[in-house]
Parts: sequence; structure tokens; C-alpha cells
Amino acid sequence: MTSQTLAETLDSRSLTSSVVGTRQTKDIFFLVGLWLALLIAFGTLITLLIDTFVTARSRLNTDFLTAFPSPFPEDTGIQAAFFGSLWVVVPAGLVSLFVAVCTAVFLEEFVKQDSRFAGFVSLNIQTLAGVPSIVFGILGLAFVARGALAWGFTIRTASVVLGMMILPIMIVSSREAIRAVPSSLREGAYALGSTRWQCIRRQVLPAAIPGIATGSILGISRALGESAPLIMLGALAYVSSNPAGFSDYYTVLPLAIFKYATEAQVEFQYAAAAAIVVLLVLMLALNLLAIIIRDRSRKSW
Amino acid sequence: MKLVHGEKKSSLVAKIVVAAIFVPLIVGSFASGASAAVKSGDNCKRRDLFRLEKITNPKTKSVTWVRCMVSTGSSLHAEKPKFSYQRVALRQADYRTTTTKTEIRMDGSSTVYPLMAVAAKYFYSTTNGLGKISIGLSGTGGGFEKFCKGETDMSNASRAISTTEIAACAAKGITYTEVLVANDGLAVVVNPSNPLKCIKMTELKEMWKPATGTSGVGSAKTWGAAIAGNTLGDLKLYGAGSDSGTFDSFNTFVHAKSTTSRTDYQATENDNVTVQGVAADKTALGYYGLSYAIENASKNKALQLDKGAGCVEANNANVQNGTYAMSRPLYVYVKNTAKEIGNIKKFLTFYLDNAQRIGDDALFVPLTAAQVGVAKAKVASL
Repeated sequence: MTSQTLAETLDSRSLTSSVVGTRQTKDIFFLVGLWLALLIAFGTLITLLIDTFVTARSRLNTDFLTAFPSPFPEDTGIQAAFFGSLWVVVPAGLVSLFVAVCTAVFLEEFVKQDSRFAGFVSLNIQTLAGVPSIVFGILGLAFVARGALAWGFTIRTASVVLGMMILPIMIVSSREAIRAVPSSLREGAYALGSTRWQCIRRQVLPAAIPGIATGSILGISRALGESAPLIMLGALAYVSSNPAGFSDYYTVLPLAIFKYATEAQVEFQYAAAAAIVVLLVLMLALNLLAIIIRDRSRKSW
Repeated sequence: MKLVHGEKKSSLVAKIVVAAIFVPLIVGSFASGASAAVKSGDNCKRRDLFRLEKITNPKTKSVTWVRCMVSTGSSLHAEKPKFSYQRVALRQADYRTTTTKTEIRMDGSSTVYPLMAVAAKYFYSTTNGLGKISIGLSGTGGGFEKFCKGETDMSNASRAISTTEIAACAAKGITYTEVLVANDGLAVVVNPSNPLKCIKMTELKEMWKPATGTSGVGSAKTWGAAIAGNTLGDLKLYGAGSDSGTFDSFNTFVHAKSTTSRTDYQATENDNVTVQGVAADKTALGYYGLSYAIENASKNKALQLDKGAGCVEANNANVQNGTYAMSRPLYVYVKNTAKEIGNIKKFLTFYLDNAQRIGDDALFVPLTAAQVGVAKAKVASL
């Protein structure tokens, strides 16, 4: 029996070491796999960025930024599209921000969290946040551009529809931000005799600003890069001037890129790349702004 | 408040980034507005093409006009065109003195778009920024849908208005005038290495017709099946997507019905896809506008067409005189009761006075003198 046990022990030892061996190999394979995934994702991105910047280099100058659209690739520019984007996105962002914060405050502070109503509204908002943007475009075409409001294919139509599109995202992020404010802050305020409104106005909202700002700027970035609903809403291919009011016609940066990219003449591809760089820089600037706001007003409890 | 390390740095970067975007824009928009006094022969920039400037002689107070034009070579499409101000006699069509601001909105065919974009650009320069025109790209059918709902004043079309569209316009009480603005030819193209030079319309019909009893799949799988004795092998087809006016026109030319076409081909709204596809494939055949064919002559070879009376070369002259089998007129439709009708008349008069120049620059086949005459009479009656 003793010899058998010894043999068994030896056997089991070698077995153990071989198991450890395969486990370590698996570990290494897993690590290599992770690096490979990172490389593929990052490599593709870097390649795309470098390619775009190199292609864009010849057109990235003040002439391109200040020129208006043109049927000739040499003197085309994006001023109208740039200001069109600002005219559409800035009001959309501001109005949705206001509505989103009000909704979030109401849902977080005034409605019982476990009530049926709260559950119903939350479910709807989350569903809306996942609706494809083209659906908002069709909705806008039927009810804002035509139908009930009949605003036509103007800046205010586009602004309202983009506002509706980013509203659910903003509500969700604002709610998260408000929920993250510790309840001790509220209890302290109430203990000192403040009313509900004073508590929200002076304690909860200031504490939630970083989260709200980050969420809404990301929402605005999305609106800035959106093209599908605006195609439905008649964003134009050729506009010879900057918009001067909310009932003007418009074009936006993503559509300018789309138009350039689908032109037959090869020279337009350089303009497309340059417009992409401008849009990227604009988006990066917005994201940077979000980071700065978050860092400036970050508090630790 | 917790200070985060590196905060100063990030805000500086943000300022630089924002400044890099906005400063050139703001500076540029001021700089472009101011123009110094010019005289005949001065150089101008491409973006000022067609711009009119007034020159007043300080002694005699007499007024002359100069216009920014192409000064080297005859064409805008020369290798490196140069631009300079040249003396012009002010015509009725030059609306440098227009006092009312124009905001004309048009929509419609992507085929007519380049033509109207060139016209809009020149009109904008000529009116020194008063004549603003915006152009949409909904396609001929989409353009008419908006036009007959009263949402646009002008509709660009690569075919005449259809009976259903006429009914839609009539239902909304919209009356309109059709104006011929250019001639367009469709080109049938093959790879430059393809030995074929000329193709009969009947052969094209055989090539593109859907087989009976199938759901639109074509019967001709090889070149030999459509063209007797051809040994090139497999047939690879490229064409326009079913939403485009080019698709309608091609089918009308080939099958005499705008919706008849086989469906098993590479369909695209972007003619450049066809150019690249045919350039890469020796056995491919495709079609698109003649303007594209002229521009891409090095990559694709345009075939001569034979509608029964011999092979006819695909060129401007044959499109204008109608001997080429696939030539089509391009129209704009103007709403008679448009609020801006006065300015639309000015724009169209400007267009027709400069139809040759605009057609050339937009790579279209310009109108003949007789066609301009007819169109002018129509515009005058608006």
C-alpha cells in the first residue's frame, strides 16, 4: 500500500504541476488576446486619424474655414455649415438642458422612487434614449416640419428635433448626478430649517453640477455629429450664406462632410477630410470643456 | 473644493483649441467683406469668380464695370486657371444694383444640382451677396413632393413632371412653369481595355431587361448573351439606385418605361462608385451622366450608341442635336405664385444670359441659341 501511495502521490504531483502549467499558458494567451484587442481597436483609430489628418493638411487653412459652399472643390469652404451647426445645436442643447434638469429634479426629489408612476416614466425615458435618431427625424418631419406645427425645413425645426433626441440622454445623466448627492447634505439643510426648494437650489443642484455638465455636453456632442434626422429635415446641400435667424435654411457640418465625400471629383475628398478635422476638433473642445467643468466643481465628501 | 493637478494646463489647451477654431473664422468673415478699389486687369481669387465691381472715374464721374473672370486659357477646367478683373458692359442680367434681398429656395434632382450650384454661386457674386439661393438634394421625385406641397419655390428635375405629380400639384392649387435649363446625356461606360466601341440600343435592352417569371433577375449573365459573338465572358453591371433620376432616364431610354430594370446589378446613388467599379473590372459595364464620363475619360470608356441609324459618339454636339440616343433635357419648375417671383425671374434671366458659361463650368451640355430663346420667352411671361 505504501509504495502505491507514493506512486499515487508522485502521479498526483505531476498532474498538479501540469494543471498549473496549462493554467499559466491560458493566462498568457488571455493577456495576449487582450493586448491584441486593444491593438486592433486603437490601431484602427490611430490609422484613421492619421490618414484623415494627412489628407486634410492641404485644405486646413483660414480660406477653407471662411469660404462658403461651392460647386468647385478648390474654393469650397465650411463657414455656412459651421455656423449652421452652432445655430442648430446651441439652442437645442440649452433648452434640453433646462427641461432635463427640471425633469430629473422632479423625478428624483419629488416623486416616490418605488411608485408606479416613477417606474413608468423611467422605463419610457430609458426606451427613448435607445431610439435610433432617424426615428426622431421622421417624427420631426411629420409633426414639426409639416403637420401640426408646420415650421418647414428651418433651423428651429432642426433645433427642436435634435433637442428632443438628446433630452432622454440628458435626463438619465442628470438623474444619476442628483442621485449621487449624499442624502446627509439634504438632511443637514432640512435640519437647518431650509425649505425643499432652498435645499435643492442651494445644496443639491450645485453638488450635482459636475455630473449634469458632463452628461449634457456629451449629449450636445452627439447632436453636433448627427446627420440622419437632419437629412429628413431638409438640411441643404448648398447654402450661400450664414443663417441670420431661426426661420432660415441651413446646413450642418456632418452633412457638409457627407456631401463632399459623395462628390465625384477626387479633390472634394480633401475638403471632406478637412471638414472632418474641424468637426473632430470642435467635439474634442466640447469634451475638454466637460472635463474642465467637472474638475473645477468637483467636491469630495 | 478640491484642486486637481494639471487643471491650469488643461484649461490653457482648451483656450488654444477654441481660439484655433474661432479666431480665423471671425477674422476671415471681416476680411472677406472688405474689398479695396479694383481696376481692370487686377488679379482676383477663384472664390470671387463672376463678382462685379463698379469703377467710377473721379474726373468724369463716368461709371464702368469689371468682372472677375478666367484670364488664362479658355476654360475654368484648365490645368491652373488664373482669375482677373475684366471690363464688361453691364447687362440687364447683372444685378449688382439689386436692392431687394433674395432668398430663393430650390430642391430636387441631384443631376441638376451642380448646374444650379454654379449658377447660384455666380448669382451670389454678381449681386455682391444679395442674391442668396439654397439648394436641396431630395432627388427629382422628392423635390416634386415638396414642390407640390408648396414647400419650395423652384424644383429641379432631370425629367418632365409625371402625371401623378401633376395631380398632386393641382390638388394643392399650385401652378407652375417649366423652363429648360440644360441638356444632359447619359453615357454607357466600360473598362478602357474592353475592345467594344459601339453598342446597339437593342443589345443594351437585352443586357438590362429582367427575365420573365423571375423577381427582377436579369437573363443575360455573359456578354455573349446580349451581344452576338462577344466572348468577353461574365457580365458585371453597375447602375443608378432606383431613387435617382438617372435610373428613371436610363430605363426610359432603354426599355421605354422608367421602372423596368433588372435588379441584380451594383446599384448606387453615387456615380463615383460606378467609376471606380468599372475602372477596376475588365468585364464591367455601367452608366451615368455624360458630364461624369467626360471628367473620368481616363478611367472609363464611353461607348458610341446605335439606335438603328449607325453609331453616334457620346459628345456635346450630338446631345444638343438629339442624334445621340441617350440625351435628355433638364428642367427647373417655377411656382407661378411664389412670393419671390420677381427675384426668381431675375435669377433665371441671369442664368439664361450666361447659360453657355454656366453649362461649361458645371460640365453640362449647354443650351443652343434656339433653346435659350424659348426659355427666355417663358421666363418673361412669369
